[in-house]
Amino acid sequence: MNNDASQTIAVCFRDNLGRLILRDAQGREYRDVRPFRMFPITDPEGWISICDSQCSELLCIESIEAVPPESRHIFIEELNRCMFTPVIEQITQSVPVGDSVRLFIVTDRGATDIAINSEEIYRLSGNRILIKDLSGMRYLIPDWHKMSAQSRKILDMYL
Amino acid sequence: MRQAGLVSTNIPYEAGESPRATFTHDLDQNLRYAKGTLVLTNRRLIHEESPAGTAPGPQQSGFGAAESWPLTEDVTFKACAYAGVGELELRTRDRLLVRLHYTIGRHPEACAFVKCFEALAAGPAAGDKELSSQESPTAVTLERSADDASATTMGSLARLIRFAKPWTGLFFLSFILSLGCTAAGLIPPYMTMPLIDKILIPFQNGASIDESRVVWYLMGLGGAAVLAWLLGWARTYVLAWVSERVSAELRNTIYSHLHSLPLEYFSEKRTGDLIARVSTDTERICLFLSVYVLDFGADVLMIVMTAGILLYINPLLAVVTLCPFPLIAWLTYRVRKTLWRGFTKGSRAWAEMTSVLADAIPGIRVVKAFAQEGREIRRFKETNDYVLRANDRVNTVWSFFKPMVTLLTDLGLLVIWGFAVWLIFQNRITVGVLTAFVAYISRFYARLESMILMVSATQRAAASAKRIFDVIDEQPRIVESPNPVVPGRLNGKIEFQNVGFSYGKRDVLQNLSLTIMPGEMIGFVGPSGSGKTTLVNLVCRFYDVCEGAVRVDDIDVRDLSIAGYRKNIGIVLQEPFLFYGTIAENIAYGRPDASRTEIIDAARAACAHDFIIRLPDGYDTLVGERGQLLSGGERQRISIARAILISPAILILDEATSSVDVETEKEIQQALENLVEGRTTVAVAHRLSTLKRADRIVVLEDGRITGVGGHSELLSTSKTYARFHRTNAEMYLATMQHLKHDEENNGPVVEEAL
Repeated sequence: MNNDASQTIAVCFRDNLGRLILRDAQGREYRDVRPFRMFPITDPEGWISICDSQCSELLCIESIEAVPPESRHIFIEELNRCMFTPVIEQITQSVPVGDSVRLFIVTDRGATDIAINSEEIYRLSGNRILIKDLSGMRYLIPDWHKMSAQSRKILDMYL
Repeated sequence: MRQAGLVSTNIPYEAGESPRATFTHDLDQNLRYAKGTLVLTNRRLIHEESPAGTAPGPQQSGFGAAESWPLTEDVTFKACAYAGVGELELRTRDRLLVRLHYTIGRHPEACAFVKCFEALAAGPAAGDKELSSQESPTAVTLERSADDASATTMGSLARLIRFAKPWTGLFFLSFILSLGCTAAGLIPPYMTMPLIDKILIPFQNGASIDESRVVWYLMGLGGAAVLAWLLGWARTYVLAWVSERVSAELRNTIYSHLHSLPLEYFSEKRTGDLIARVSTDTERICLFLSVYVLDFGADVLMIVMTAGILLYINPLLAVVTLCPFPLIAWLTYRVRKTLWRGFTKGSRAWAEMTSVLADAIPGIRVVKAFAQEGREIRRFKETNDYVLRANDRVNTVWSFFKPMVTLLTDLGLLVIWGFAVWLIFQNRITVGVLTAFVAYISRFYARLESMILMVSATQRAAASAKRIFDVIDEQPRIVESPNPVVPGRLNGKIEFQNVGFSYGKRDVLQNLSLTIMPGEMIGFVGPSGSGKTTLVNLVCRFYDVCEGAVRVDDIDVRDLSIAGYRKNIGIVLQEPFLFYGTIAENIAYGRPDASRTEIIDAARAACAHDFIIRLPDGYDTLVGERGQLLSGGERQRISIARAILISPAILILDEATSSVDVETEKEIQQALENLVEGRTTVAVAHRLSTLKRADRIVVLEDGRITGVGGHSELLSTSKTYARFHRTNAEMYLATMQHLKHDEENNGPVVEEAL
């Protein structure tokens, strides 16, 4: 683990199979590396760990800014590929369906509707809310006090 | 929402080509919601973007852009699950062809689709029979839960009827009593009418009175009051008695159901929340049943009866009197939903508060050690504030609502006075009628008010009932087979056949096969997270395998009766858990009918006897929830005695020595050896010393077996094992040296401590 390398250049590109190849400052190449978010919910932009195919850490980056711009978008692409936690921007409607509730939501990934159990709405610290739907998908609300009055009203029914 | 069969597409099929399976993915390349369809035919894999995506964006290429790839041998297709997103990847040996994304709920379907693909790619004919089986089961279950719209909040209250059934007779009795009681309450106002009109007013006007009639009326009034009291007393008693039993039954049901739920459920739920459901929520239902439910029935009848009497006395006045009634009914209807929500919130907040308690109290040592009392107090205060806020909101609605109803009833009275005075002036009614009306109407609205109280109680109870039935509806994931084999004493042969297991989306064991002979001791070693404990959980049948089978004495464990099978299993865990009770009771936990001799023998075999008899209360020493009174080694020896006592055919040692020091381990070692004797033993260990007697050692890495054999054999064949052995030896040596050093300085520490 050469953490000092985070300051040096880590160049990253894709091979034909779409896998990531990392070249460190010494010119060593690592195939099939994968970046991981260390704080996917509280700090998705910072603290990224880059691991080799055996999942042992090669690099630990405090901020994605430390990565040269040409590699940065590849990392971000790769990070986003493996993590899907839509951020709910609006809740437009809620329809109780049996014991569960169907929520019509607008997220940063587009609009959709989800089936949830009202028990699986978790209040996290600092007004953050995590919703788990029946299939286990997670949705995040960074600050529910900042949502529209209507969304808040709907959410409030289940909090 | 999803077509179960084959989706009709605009794809022009070639001659002789027919679709075999479809899969709808719901995310595009940028992980935005957009639908697309994959169609697998006997020749190609075709991908088509949905013409009208759910989220129209610039990336939408208009109308059904389709691309396709022929099924050739060098194409691999696989489905991967990540956090919340799944990915289908199609590639050749050296090139990525396409990556498609879908939300994680569709993963099982995607896997089925991939299986279908693999079957077709292996040989077109083989794929045919896969076709029917690839229809996703998840789609069906989701569909069903969506249709199940009938269950409302009242639905969960209605389900309480099942629990009331055994007491139908008593419920009926109390209803009759309730009815009688209210009817008796209606007599006095009626009697005031002749009392005033026939006696008091004529008397004031100078007529002579018939004293016997006065006595007669007064006795009637008194008698009615006594009757109402007697009936009311009987009703309250019967009802309280019955409702206590209903809620006790409910508590029993929910608690026994909790025991049928898998370990997973308990790791998902917070202890405090579950406790609140078993205790507080059932108590609320008890209150609801005992105080409100029958009152409600009686109130309705009372109101109807009163209205009837009023109409009989004077229809016109009655109609005017009842004017505010629809208004109140409407208000009640409006406020009902808000109250229900408020109470659900309150219950949830309460559960959260209990959870904080259930969290902090067992962890009190950590709290104190890190001096975090202030933080814990704050945390409690925060949830307590939340309870406060939730209740405040209900109270706001409630405090507005109740006086509002009172105001309306007062207005009703005012209307009566005004209208009746006018009628009296017109000589259309007598003063007696007015008094009767006033008396009735105040009763009427009193009843109405209690009915409205009922609204809040009903909503509160409905919220509680829902929380209770949420637990009761939770399906046990480990189910007994319909015709279970009840095993007697097993021989203890354990076979893992191509076992695969995953926790949710995470694969833990893959295609693992191993046979453990009766009486053999097998040790599992491996880095943490390699699946050792999972194997143990599978043997105990705390979980069921996802693939393959675990067979004991050549019977699949899923075919065995659960209780009968587990009677054959003894387990010693890393953290010995002692229940509140005496040491003897704890040793006899698995067989409460064990005799004293057996208990003592077990304790002797576990090398626990000596320290137990030195305790002031001996075997009768009370040990607390966490058994703080005893040292770690002592507690562990008691739990070993507990396992010895049931003399299990299969013994499981799950890191039984990991949490104790080397000295204590030596003490336990002998106990363990007595225990292992003659039983099939599955031992998971961090310390090789525990596995000294193991016949074979299995090295597990990433859910796979990477080495099996004796100690010396593994030293040469397994790198992991050799490394493991080295660190163990180093640690052991270091400890021994340290102990020796202590001994030289301070004399024989060990003897002194004993």
